Amino acid sequence: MRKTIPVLLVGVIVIEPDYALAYIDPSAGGLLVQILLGGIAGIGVLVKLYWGKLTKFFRKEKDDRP
Amino acid sequence: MTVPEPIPEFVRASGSYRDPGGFVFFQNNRVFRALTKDGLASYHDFRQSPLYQWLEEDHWITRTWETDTSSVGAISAKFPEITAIIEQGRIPFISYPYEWSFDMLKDAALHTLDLLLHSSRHGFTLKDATAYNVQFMGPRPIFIDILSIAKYVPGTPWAGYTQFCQQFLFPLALTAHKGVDFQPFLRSYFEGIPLHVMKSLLGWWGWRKAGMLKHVFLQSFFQTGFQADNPALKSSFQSLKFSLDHVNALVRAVKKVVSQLHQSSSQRHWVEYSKNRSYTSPEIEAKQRFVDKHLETMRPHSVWDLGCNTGEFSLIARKYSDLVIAADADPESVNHLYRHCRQNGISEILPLVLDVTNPSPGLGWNNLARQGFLDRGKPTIVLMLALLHHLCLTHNVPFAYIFNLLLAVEAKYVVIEFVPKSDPMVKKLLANREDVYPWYNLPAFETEAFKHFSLVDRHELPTGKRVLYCLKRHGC
Repeated sequence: MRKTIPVLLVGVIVIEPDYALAYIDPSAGGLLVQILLGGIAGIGVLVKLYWGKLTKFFRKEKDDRP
Repeated sequence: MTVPEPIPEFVRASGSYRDPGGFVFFQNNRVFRALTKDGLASYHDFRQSPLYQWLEEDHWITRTWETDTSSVGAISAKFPEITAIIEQGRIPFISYPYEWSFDMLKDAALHTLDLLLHSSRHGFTLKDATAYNVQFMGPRPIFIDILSIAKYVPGTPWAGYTQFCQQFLFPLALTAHKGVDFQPFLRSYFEGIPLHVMKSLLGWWGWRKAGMLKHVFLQSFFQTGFQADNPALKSSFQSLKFSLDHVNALVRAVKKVVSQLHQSSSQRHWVEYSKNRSYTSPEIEAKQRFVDKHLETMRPHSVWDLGCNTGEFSLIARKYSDLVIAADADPESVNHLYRHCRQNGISEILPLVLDVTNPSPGLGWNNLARQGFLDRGKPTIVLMLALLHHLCLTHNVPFAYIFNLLLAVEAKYVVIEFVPKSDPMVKKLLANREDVYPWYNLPAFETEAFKHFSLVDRHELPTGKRVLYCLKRHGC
């Protein structure tokens, strides 16, 4: 899954009509560091992003049970 | 009936293929940029803003101008997406970050960050932050990728942040904090030092160094721990109403970290070489006079001073040539020269970190995206002073190979110094080794030299041991 990160990001950005940010991969790590610049709101967004990941993880655990 | 002039051949820059807005090509020793419709729109926005004029007048960026080139038709036929062509100023000698010294990379980094901050005042940003967008005109960095400057789109992050870290911040931090030369890393890692590699190189305690916790460890943690197919990642910037103020805050934070990085001196002996050398003051003066005399006569277009150390002879050469490439394998010596040039406004010298026994090769796609050092120019004259014995006795390079190199770069002249085995420096080199160099002697050297070059001048230094030659290539 990790390998698909840059591909997906580039894909998402390339379909954007603006030409300003069209061709380099900003990297998930770099984007998440920048989200923190949003102060408290940024931390909130970060928690939300990771919350989604956690719940997804637990959902998967649950689904895996026989 | 007049016969139309043939259209000169255009050559696309091999490394210019990433930006969908256009590409660079060369024609008749001139540099052009072919632009797509989007590239042209972006360029117009920038060209019409007061930012462009300010940046150009202050030499922050290379000059560009609308041009009348006969190749528009030829290029449009081959690349239908191209709608316009602009011309831009030529850089006298292209160099790459893996050939720069510490302060050169640091100045290029600060130049990029300051350019971002200036641009943001006019609503512009940089689409990327690659170190290859910067070149040096003497000791002054200049930004060459005009298409990288584009209007900022509200709700978007600093796209070049990670790229800046990998190509500028990490290499500088590696040298400053770990005392490791960054040049081989930048030569190997085409996109810059990867996050996980930098984290490993810094070690566990590296997080205590200024900025490293955030820009290396936190970024690495996020990079490896986050499921980035989450579509909320991109929309987060819109929901946070991300603006240039946010981008600038990060740029300023990175600038603060970069500004605080300094190369710790390892007290390598090459920087001290000019103080420790084995020959006397009259010999040094005789050597300087010899070099000065021949360069004054030649007035060469370009000089390569190979094994320049801290640039003693490059500083003589620059009196007679506008382009002196001062190359040495020791990054500290090169940095010393760069700082001297910067402090004294010496614009004719380009100091570069380069090992003559292993010069920068062609790199990147098809080994053509970055040209090899030897393919980037043809020197009028090559200076090889106090270098021969290191090449022959430390690196086992035969005389024939040395003259073959000079032929390959099409040097018209060479000023070369023969240092005999009786010289104290050579004795030091051979002190703990078996002398397996019976061929290293003056007659053998002259035999090889005169196969390809004719003698212009020969001068024995006062003690009669070292011999200076000025040679001219046959047929020149």
